[in-house]
Amino acid sequence: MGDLAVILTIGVISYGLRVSFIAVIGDRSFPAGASRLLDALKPAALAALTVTALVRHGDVMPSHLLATGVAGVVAYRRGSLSMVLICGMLAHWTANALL
Amino acid sequence: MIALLRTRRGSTADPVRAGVREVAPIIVGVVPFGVTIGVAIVESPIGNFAGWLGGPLIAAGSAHLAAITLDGAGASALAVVLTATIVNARLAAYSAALVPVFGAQPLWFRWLGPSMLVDQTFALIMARQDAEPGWLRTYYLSAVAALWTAWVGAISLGMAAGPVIPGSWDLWLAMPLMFCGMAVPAAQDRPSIAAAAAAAIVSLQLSDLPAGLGLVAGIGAGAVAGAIWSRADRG
Repeated sequence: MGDLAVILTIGVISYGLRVSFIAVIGDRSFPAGASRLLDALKPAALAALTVTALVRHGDVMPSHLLATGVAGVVAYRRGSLSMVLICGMLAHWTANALL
Repeated sequence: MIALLRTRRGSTADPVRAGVREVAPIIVGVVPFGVTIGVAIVESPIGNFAGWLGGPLIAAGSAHLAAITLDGAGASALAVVLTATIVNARLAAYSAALVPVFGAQPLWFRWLGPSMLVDQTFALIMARQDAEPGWLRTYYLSAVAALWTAWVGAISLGMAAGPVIPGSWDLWLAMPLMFCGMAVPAAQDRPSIAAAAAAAIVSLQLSDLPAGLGLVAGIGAGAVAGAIWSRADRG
C-alpha cells in the first residue's frame, strides 16, 4: 500500500471515529470496558512511539536520553508541548556542545 | 480549560468573533507542533504530498506524527494504520460525549462538524454546550475553520523550512520529544504509568522486529499491563 493510500485510510478511519456516535450510533453510552481500555491504550501507544522514534535513528546517544528526560520533566511540570520541544532540543544541543 | 471557558456561557456575543477569539490561544500552542510535523515530513521517506495531506485529512497531530515516524522506520502499512487508529481511538469517546450536543443540530452538521474534532475543539464545544443550537453551530465552525487553516499552514511552513535547516541541528529528535511530551500527561495514575512503562520496555526489546511489529507488541503489552493494574486497583 503506497503512502498516499495509507494516509487516506487513516483519514477515513479518523473521520469514522469522530462521527461514529454523533451521526451513526446515536444515544448510547460509551461502554465502560472500552473506556478503560482507551485509558491504557493512549499512554501505551505514546510511550512505545517515543521509544521507536528514538531508536530508529541508530545509536541512542547520552544527549538524546538527556533531552528526552528533560522533555518528560517539562511535560510533567508545565504540560506545554512548545516548552517540551524547546527545552528538550536545548538540552540536546548543550550536551552535544559540552560532551 | 472547560472550567475556564464555562464562565462565558452567554451566547449573545457574535459567534464568529467568539469562536476565533477562544481558539486563538489554542492556535498559538499547536503551530509549533504543526511546524515540527512539516519538518518531519520532508525528512522522512514518506512522499511530500501524502505527508502534507495528512494535515487536513487526519487532522490530529499525534496520529499524523505516528504515521510519519513508523513509515520512516519501515513499518508495514498495517502497522502504520493500526497504530494511528489506536492513537486516535479517543475520538470515539469524544463522539459519544457529544451526542447530546450535536443532537439538536441539523443532519448536515452532524456529519460535517465532527470532521475537526480533536482534544481542543472538544473542550471548546463542551464549554459552550448550553448555547442556542444555531449560535453554537456558527461558533464551532468559526473556531474549527481558524484552527484548521492555522494547522495546515503550520505544516506547510515546516515543510518549506525543513530543507534549509542544517542536518546538524538533529531536528529528527523533535519527534520522540513530542511523543514524550504527550505520553507524560497521559500517564497520571498507576494503571496508565504501568501501561506506559510496559509498552516502552517491550517496544525497546523488540525494536529489531520488522514492519513495526515491535511497536505494536509494545502497545499491546502496555494495554494489558494497564488493564491488569486497573482491575487490581479496583480490587
